[in-house]
Amino acid sequence: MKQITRAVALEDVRDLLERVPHAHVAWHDGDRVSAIAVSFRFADEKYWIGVPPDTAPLGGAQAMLLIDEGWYYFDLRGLRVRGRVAPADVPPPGSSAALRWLALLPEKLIAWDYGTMRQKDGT
Amino acid sequence: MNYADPQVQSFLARSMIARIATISAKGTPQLMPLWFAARDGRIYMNNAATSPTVRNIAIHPDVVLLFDADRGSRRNMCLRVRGRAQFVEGDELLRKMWLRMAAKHDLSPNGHCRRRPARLSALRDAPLLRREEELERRDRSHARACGVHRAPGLRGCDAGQRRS
Repeated sequence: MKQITRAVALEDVRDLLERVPHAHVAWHDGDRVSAIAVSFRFADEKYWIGVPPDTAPLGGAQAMLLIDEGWYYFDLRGLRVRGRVAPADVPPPGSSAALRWLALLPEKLIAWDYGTMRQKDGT
Repeated sequence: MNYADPQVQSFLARSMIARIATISAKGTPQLMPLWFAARDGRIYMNNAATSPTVRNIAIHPDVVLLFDADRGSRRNMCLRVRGRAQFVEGDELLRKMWLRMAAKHDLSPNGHCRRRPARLSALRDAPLLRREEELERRDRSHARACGVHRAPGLRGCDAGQRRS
């Protein structure tokens, strides 16, 4: 059976890590899910998430970071990073002191780009 | 902030993408960007019946929706909605929601195309007939696989400054 894929390599959406059109984080918060818009920095292959100081403690929580852009079908691109968050030892360079900075330790990364939708190789 | 608040309605009208946050049976968070349509106090999104998001809401229906003000002023604002989601299927509902989403994303008020897709690189090299067949097949497959989420019990909204 033919399959269509929109999956791409991280390198293909790496610009999103620099430009960060939209960044949001979801995490398991006790018995429910929570999610907020966040500030994001990527430097030295590290993922930093900036949250408001009054955000519930996230240390050790499993989280998913979503960075995406585009409104129209063939413009939609993005990546999701699943991992655990921990307080950052140092904030990222040039970051706002008004935010609490967390480090995301990635476990799984998925990138997609609807503009490259194609038949899957080998099918 | 109440869902019926004009500010909330205005915000939803200016937002183009909803991010829906769910958790799996194992407690793993999931965050997915989807098109949406708002109608009669409910927010509708479409996703494949087999997607992780749909599987998650069958187990944990409490979800969080995040909306950015994509158009107009105040683009640095974000709206967060908590509610309960359920997966529903139905050709008539699906058709209505698709029309709403298409009107929002693709049509101007007088029915003209708002914007042509800018990036069709992957399909550009395919023979024309095959490309049309493929699109038609994918549409049929998508229509079969998709239902609509709705959040009948929207329990709270809050708006805040984006942190970027």
